[in-house]
Parts: sequence; structure tokens; C-alpha cells
Amino acid sequence: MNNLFSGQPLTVHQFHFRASAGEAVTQQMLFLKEAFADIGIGGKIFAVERKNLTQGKVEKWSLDSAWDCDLLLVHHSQGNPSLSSIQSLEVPQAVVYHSLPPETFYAHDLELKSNIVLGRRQLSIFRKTAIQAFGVSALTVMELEQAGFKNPRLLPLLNLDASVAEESLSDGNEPKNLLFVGKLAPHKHQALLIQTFYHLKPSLPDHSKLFLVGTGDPLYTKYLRLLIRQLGLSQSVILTGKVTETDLKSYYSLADAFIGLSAHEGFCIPLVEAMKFGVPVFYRPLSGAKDTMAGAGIELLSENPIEIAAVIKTFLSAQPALKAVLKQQKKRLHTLSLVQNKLVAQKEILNLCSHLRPGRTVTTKSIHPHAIQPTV
Amino acid sequence: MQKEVAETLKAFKKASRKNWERDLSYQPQRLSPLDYIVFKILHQQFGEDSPSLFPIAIGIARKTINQAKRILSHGSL
Repeated sequence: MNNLFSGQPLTVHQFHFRASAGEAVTQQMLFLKEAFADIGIGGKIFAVERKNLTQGKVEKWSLDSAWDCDLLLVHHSQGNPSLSSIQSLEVPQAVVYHSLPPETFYAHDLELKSNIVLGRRQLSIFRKTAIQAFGVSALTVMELEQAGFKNPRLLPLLNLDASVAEESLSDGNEPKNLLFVGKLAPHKHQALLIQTFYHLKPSLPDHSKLFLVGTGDPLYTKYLRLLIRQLGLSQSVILTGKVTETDLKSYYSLADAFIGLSAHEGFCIPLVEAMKFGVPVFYRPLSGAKDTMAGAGIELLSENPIEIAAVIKTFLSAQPALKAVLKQQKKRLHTLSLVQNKLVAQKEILNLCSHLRPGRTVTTKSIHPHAIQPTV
Repeated sequence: MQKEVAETLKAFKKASRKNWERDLSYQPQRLSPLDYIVFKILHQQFGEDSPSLFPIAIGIARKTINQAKRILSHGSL
């Protein structure tokens, strides 16, 4: 596709300190790279620490290789030890802020705790240096506003289409599969979910299971394994570890309910994935999860596992109520897809780049008519 | 649905309380004494999500420490 700017092709590089397969920030960087490429904007992705990635997807960060761009998108979450080196690079930089969990959950991991604190402190540095701040969700945009950034914008995390898999609610006698997908971490409260399942299990059909998909904090994972054994749930609560994309789809397809008890989420892509697979979503309406669901799904207003179990059990036994919930989720997906999509990402980056290349012509003929109308 | 949830909750509370206390106490067929001690320590760190359950956990943790002391001094529970 032709470049939309006259003259030299535009280049937008992206940086995040860590990159690994399946991780949310890395996924967004790959999505943005593809979205930008569609409108003729080139660019590379850089990281200092790279894990489990296909060769060539993310390049090793060095000042020598990243200077040749019109714009550097610096994705920021936890503390970035390379920040001063990045900021010494004389190219326009915009920050893409991903939410940080409260450090109070990490008293057991001082390194991570200090990284979270550092991440928060470093965010204020971008206020002076970044030409634009982006949040990836309503929550992060609001956090940027509260941190004093002027006019923060939303840069989508994914290209969401609003289609939903056909619903297939199982009848009351079939074993139930409950699911949560996310990093095993204290603020995601998988322990509370296991306790909830413990109270729920006697009322569910035999062979019902709770699947916790994801890897994470080693000490917390050790605790979850011991909790499962101590509560006699070794046969019914499964910690899957890392799964392939195909397996992940199977877990969603087989799930009767998605249950998210996180105390903190930036956006929580798994909530969206569950809605796309036509799975009823139970969640605590806190932080990013509240914005993502916006009243769809079933809100859990208690932290007590017995109370949560009672809500889940009641809904799983009431098919008409679940059908109403699924209908509501479909509507929510549609609304979300209007902001979380490729065209919005393209519009945002074109608008920003038009300020970087004043006097150049921007054409929009190859962009969807609803996407953008940038003016230079 | 509120009425149905309240009824389910009543039934759950009745059934769960005793079992929970039992299942959180030391059970040799589930964890070794050492694993149980590790579990209790980690449960204090991570398991206090439910305020109503945490005081029970603290009480049991105290018992566990006493049990551990007995193991160390007598070689058995």
C-alpha cells in the first residue's frame, strides 16, 4: 500500500523493556505494527528483555538501531531501567501507558514492588518529554489525566470485531467448566477463585472443573498448588500453565462461565475473549474490568467466596437469565469494537504524524471512511 | 434473582462452614507436615482475601506452629 504522506515513508518504532509471546503489551505492539503497515507506515519493535518470541518479531534494543524513525512509541508499564538511554535518543517520543497493579499486593517480591513504584515515578518524566500520551483503556486514559498529562488519547489494544460464537449453554446436569485466563498473580485473586470453587463444587454436577490458564508469580503459584491440594481439589482445579493459541480457544469454547475476581485490571482482554466465545462473564466491577464490561455480564459485589459461589450457582441454574446476560454481552462487544479497532489506531497515529511532518500532504483515500479525516 | 441467590447462599453457608474449618486443618493424606507449614505461611501472605475466613486461618496457623514445634521436639504429631 502506498504511504499516505508525500515524500519519505514514515517510520514509527515501538519500544517496551520486556517482550514475550502472548503478553498483553507485546500483543499490542505487534497489532499496532500491522495496523500501521496497512497504511504504509513502517517500523520495528524493540525490547531489552525478549522471551519466547519468533525470530525477528522483536529486535534487541540499541540506540544505534532505533534512531531512524519519525516517532518512537515508548510503551510504559513497570519501571524501565533503560529509560534515560531511550530519552537520550533525539527523536519525537510518545508514551503508551499500560496500567500498573497496586504495589501493596507484592510485599513478598521486593524487586517487583520497587519496579511498580519506579514505573509510577517514571510516568511523570514522560509528562515533560513525550509529545503525546496514550492510554490503552478508559482506565489508563483517566490515570494519565490524573497524572497531569494534557489531552491523553486512547490507542487500541486490539482489532476487535463484534462477531460472537454461537452460544451453547449446557443443561443443568452436565459437568460445568469454569474458567479464568490471566497471569497467576496476587492481584488477580486466583486464590479467592479456588476458595469460591471449593464452596461451589458440592452443588455442581460430578466432574465439573475450574481451569486457571496462565503462568506467573512463582511464590503465588506455589501457594495456589498447595491450596488446591489442601482443599482436596487436585482432580478438579487445573493450573494449565502456558497454553497454545489453539488450546486457549478450546478452553473458551468449553467454558460454561468465565470468572474474573481481579482487584486490578488495566483492560483485561480475556473478558473480551470470553464474550466473543459466548461465555457468560462473572466479574468484580473494579478498575479496568468495570470499564471493559460497562454493566454487561454479571457483577460480583462481594469478596466473600461463599457469597460469590451462591451467585454463580444461582445463575448457572437459570438458563433464561444466562441468555439475557449473553445478549447484553453481545451489545457491549459491539460498542467496544467501535473504539478497540485498527482504524482508530491508524487515525491516532496519522493525526500525530501529521504534526511531525508539517506542510506535507496527507491523503486518506485508502482508509475506511469512518476511520479518519486528518487535516494538515 | 436476588431471592434465589439469598436462598442458595443460606444453603451454602450451612454446608460450607464446618467443611471449610476441617479442610483447612492439617490432613496428612493431602500435604506433608513441611508442605502444610509452607502452606500456612503462604496462606497468611496471600489468603486473606476473605476477611471472614482470615481469623480462622490465623488461629489455625498458630496451631500449626505449635504442631511444628512438637514435630521438631518429639519427631511426630
